[in-house]
Amino acid sequence: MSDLTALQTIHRTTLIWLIISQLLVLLPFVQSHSLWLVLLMLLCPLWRGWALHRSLLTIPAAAKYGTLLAGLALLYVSGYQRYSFDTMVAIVLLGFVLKNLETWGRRDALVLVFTGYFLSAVHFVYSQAPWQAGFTFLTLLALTCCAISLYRSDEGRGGVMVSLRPALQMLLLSLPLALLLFVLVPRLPPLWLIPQHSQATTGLSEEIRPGDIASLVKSDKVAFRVNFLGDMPPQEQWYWRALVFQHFDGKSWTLGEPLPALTFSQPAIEQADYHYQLVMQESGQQWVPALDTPVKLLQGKGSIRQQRILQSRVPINSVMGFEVLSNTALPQQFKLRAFERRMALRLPRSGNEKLRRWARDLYLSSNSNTEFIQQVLNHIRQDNFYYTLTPPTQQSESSLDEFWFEVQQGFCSHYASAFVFIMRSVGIPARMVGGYLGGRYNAAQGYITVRQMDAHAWAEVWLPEEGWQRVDPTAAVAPERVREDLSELFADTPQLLSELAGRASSFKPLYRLQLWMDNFEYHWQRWVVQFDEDSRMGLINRLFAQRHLLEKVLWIAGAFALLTVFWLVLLGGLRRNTESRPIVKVLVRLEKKLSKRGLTRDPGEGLAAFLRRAEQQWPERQDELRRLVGLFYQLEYTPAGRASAAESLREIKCLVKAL
Amino acid sequence: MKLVDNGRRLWQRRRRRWIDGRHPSQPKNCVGMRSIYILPSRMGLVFLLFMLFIFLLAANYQNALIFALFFWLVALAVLNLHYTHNNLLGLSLSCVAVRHGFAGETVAFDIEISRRGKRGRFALMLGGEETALEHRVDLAEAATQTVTVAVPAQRRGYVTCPQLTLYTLYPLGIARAWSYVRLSAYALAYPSPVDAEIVRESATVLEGVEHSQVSTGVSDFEELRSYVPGDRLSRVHWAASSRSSILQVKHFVDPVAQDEWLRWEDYGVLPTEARLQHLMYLVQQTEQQHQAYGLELPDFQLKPAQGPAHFQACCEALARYGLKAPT
Repeated sequence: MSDLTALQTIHRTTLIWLIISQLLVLLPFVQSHSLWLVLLMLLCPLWRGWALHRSLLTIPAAAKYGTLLAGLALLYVSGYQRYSFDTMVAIVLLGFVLKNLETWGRRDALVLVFTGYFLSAVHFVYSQAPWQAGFTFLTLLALTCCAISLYRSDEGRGGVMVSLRPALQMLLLSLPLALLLFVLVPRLPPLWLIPQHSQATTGLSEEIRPGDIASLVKSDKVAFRVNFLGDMPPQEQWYWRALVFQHFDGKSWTLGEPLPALTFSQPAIEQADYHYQLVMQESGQQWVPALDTPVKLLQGKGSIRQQRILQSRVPINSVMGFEVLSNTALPQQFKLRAFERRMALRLPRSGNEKLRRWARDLYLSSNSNTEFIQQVLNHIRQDNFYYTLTPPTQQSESSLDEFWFEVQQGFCSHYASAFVFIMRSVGIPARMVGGYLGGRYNAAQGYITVRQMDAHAWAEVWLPEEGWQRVDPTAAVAPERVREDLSELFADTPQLLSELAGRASSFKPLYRLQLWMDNFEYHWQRWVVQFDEDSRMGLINRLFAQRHLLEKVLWIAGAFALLTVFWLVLLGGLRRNTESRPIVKVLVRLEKKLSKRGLTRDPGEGLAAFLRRAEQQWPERQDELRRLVGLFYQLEYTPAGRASAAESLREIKCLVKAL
Repeated sequence: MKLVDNGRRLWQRRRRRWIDGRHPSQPKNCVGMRSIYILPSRMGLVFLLFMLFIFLLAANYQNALIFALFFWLVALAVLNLHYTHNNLLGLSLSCVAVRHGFAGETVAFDIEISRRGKRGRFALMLGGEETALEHRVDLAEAATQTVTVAVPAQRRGYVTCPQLTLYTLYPLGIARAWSYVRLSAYALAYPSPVDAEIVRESATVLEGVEHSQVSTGVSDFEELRSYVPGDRLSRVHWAASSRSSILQVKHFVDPVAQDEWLRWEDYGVLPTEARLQHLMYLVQQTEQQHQAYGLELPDFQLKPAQGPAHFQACCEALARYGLKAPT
């Protein structure tokens, strides 16, 4: 049997839904692909809408192929030339919109709907924000409406909404099963390496020039969120260490040689002070900020490196979660190995001679390393140093000289690099640390949001008795010499920020809304976006802790069975396949009674004829049977009977019962 | 090739027997849970392919949201099975009228499809191997709808309602649910009218009396004539007879041309089917000439008359000749 219906052209209602869903599918690609490309692509469904309006349906084949070639040329010109994920997406998009130029049968339209489903999945490669999920739900709804309307007859202009109800019903009813599958089905690891879409790295970079952090400080993008399980350190201790810069070439700081991974002894892990969960935003990089010394990574894939930093195994290209134990009492136990000492003292042979001399003089006049450090900090505090995010640019070979003696204006990375330089020049092992300072504490939900504007750089020096010690030279700048408006200053002084925020919250509903949205995003990321195989197993283990395998299987089978019954009841599949009208039920009962006496109603035999036959066999009941026929015909076929239906029905029931 | 053909024939025969066993023909066909079959449609396979793409995207990017979308679509496809299945469940089909026709042309069955309950049914397709067209039925507002299924009539005689397939792809087009419909109804295929171009045999010539322009009839009184042996006593005009010595008989004539008797024995030279076809031709011709005619078949006779009802009775008699009605 040939599927003739496939050739049937689709009707207006479907077309309207197709145009709507194509617009919804295309719009989010504005983020990842160029705006004007998406706008040009939007022309196709819009043209289709216009053609629908004008009842224009066919276009010549030459025009079709011409448009296809033009589209491909357009992609090439727009820079999609290499084999990459973005290019593949762009080509699929092109095919998706150019399908509009063909006259569609039902099969074409379905292929478009399926492509739409696929492209909705691609949305999530680029964005995993809650609004994107909401938008994708709308897209799914429109696509499903489109598929349903294909099999409905054309309801005309007012009928566009008709398929909305079943589509919504289907999507919502399938949600419980989707949840079950989401939690129960094991995730496969990546099957092969895929071309990564071009994820710009955000946040701190692995090479830092004294001027670099300024741009970050102006961004209020969330870097990561933390919640503590148990104790929380005091706010002034929120130094999130992410990167350790060991190598300085006179202009910029880099990480230096990679150091091996580090494992800690059991006592060090058991004595950990802080236990916290981090939700990292996509950064395109591998580092994970942590407090002090991370001693164990409880969840997430990564390792702890020698410099006490945490490194993710793969670049953080989507939201990822880590659970970490940190120990603040450890630095004393560290030994400075020879190669570490070498690295922590290395400086360029020449350059910044004036600063070197200044440092040597000061060092000679002080009694101990600690005193020397204090004197340097005092110098910053007392001399004419300013904190500013827009210092004059320093380009020369001896930029630190200029900063220290002439300009005396800068921000955290200037102060930190000058400080480390001074320490190294007098033989105190030192290094620069990049990371974040502070964060905004959401008291109601108990988590901290750290934004890019909290980025910070500070120094660490090695003291023989105490080990690596944190020194923040920026904090030494006298408060009256801070030359920026308040909000920019707050980037480095979280205490003030939260104080202000606390004050603001009492009268600003906007602030509350912001807090609420931040809160929502946090939970979204923690429970949905970063729900990976580990969290899945964790959830299952928690649900079925110490249960027998058989019990687990029964629970899961039970859940599926319950869901199926739920569907059957709701969709009316369970309803018995019998007539529901009461009169018919009574007649069925009557037939059953008569069949006991050997009378069966022939197919097609009317009730009157049947009961006449019954009379002959059962003459003593003649009156009742005749009355029954009369009542039945009165009830079914006369208006008067219909008016008194309830009474007639009752009488019929009595008669049948009495038989 | 032969092996393949044989295999296919064998498979089809077994399938036929299996369906016949599961779905005996009934006057009313209720689509119950046990008579619905469901499999992915061709577009369903395409859908699976797209699902594979989405799964690869989810696995390779280890993206929880794409996994969520993937599982949602899987759940949607599973739920779609229920919807497609329920779109057929609880429908009942019965043949409410048949339309007879000539052999070589088509006969038709009016099949009424009705639903029970408030749930609307959409895009129900009714067709069969022997029917040329598929019919689309939507039971959105109305609870019943009737479609006319035309079936080509190959041979004269009874044409049983063919096995039909009721199927649907609603709502998403990715699953096809179907049920076999076997209704115990039959239509008649009249013999196709063929002029055999022969004259009647001698038996007819002997009855030349009846070929005269005025034939003895029953309706119009014409004259009184003298009694001849064989006249009915009821026709004797006793009052007139009393006045003369000879019995007077009322003579009646019919205004119509003479009654035509179309007789089976008249065309003995023809084989059965050809004879029926010729008789059919004669019935059609005579009906068109507005003449009264009678039909005489072995053990069956229709008195001379005229009009559509009579014509149809003759056609049916010719169609049924020598055949037993299917049970």
